[in-house]
Amino acid sequence: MSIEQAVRTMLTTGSTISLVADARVTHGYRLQDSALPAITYEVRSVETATCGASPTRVADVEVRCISELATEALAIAAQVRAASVAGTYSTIVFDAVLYQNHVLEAAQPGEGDEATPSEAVCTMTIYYRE
Amino acid sequence: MPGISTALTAFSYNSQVTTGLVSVSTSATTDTIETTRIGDARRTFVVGQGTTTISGEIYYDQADPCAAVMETDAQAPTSRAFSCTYSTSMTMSGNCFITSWQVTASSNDTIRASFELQTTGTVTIA
Repeated sequence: MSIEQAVRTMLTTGSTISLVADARVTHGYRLQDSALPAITYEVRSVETATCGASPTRVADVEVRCISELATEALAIAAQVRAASVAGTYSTIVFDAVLYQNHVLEAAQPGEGDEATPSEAVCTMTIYYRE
Repeated sequence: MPGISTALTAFSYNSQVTTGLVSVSTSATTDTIETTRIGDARRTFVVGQGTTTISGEIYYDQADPCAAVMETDAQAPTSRAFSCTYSTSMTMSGNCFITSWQVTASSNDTIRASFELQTTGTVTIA
């Protein structure tokens, strides 16, 4: 399994993230006309941190909580934080999940008939072993 | 050919291989005794006594059997076997006791432990 798959499993395990349906948690991007709220995520980098046969790797992960309402985007971010815990996901062991911060990007009016939704961008560091 | 510190680099203490090795370093030093006489143009020495010390850093995890033994021994040091495999056919082993154990926690980061070991007797290089 990949770290990308494991991150999605962490986000969709259980019902901690109740504001977003599992099907709307996607890797990388979402279609512009897809339903909101939604979550996209990206593994920005992976580094090897320890030696040994099963080394610890460190992943820098960004999770974007997207909603028409800034308050809802922040509420989803809070649920993402609650769901970001150590455990085994898709056979990959997350030894530690450090929720670093989140930044709210306010909604922007578009030139056409659609505005850009609000996004709460969460950044976390995951220590894991495959 | 130089080794690469990835999967082959392993460190064990009391035969327990640590699961969270960040770095390890061994240092062999030898004392020197000067035998220079007045009038000599160049200083001369004879070989003195030598020793090897080990230092390293691991992720602090009490479930790591290596860390658990080190932490216990830090309160009452006792001689333990060690083995440091840097890469294929690059292993140092012998006996040692722990002289320093330091656990550091900082905000929103993993907790790490650094240690220092004093070897005693012969260090085998293979």
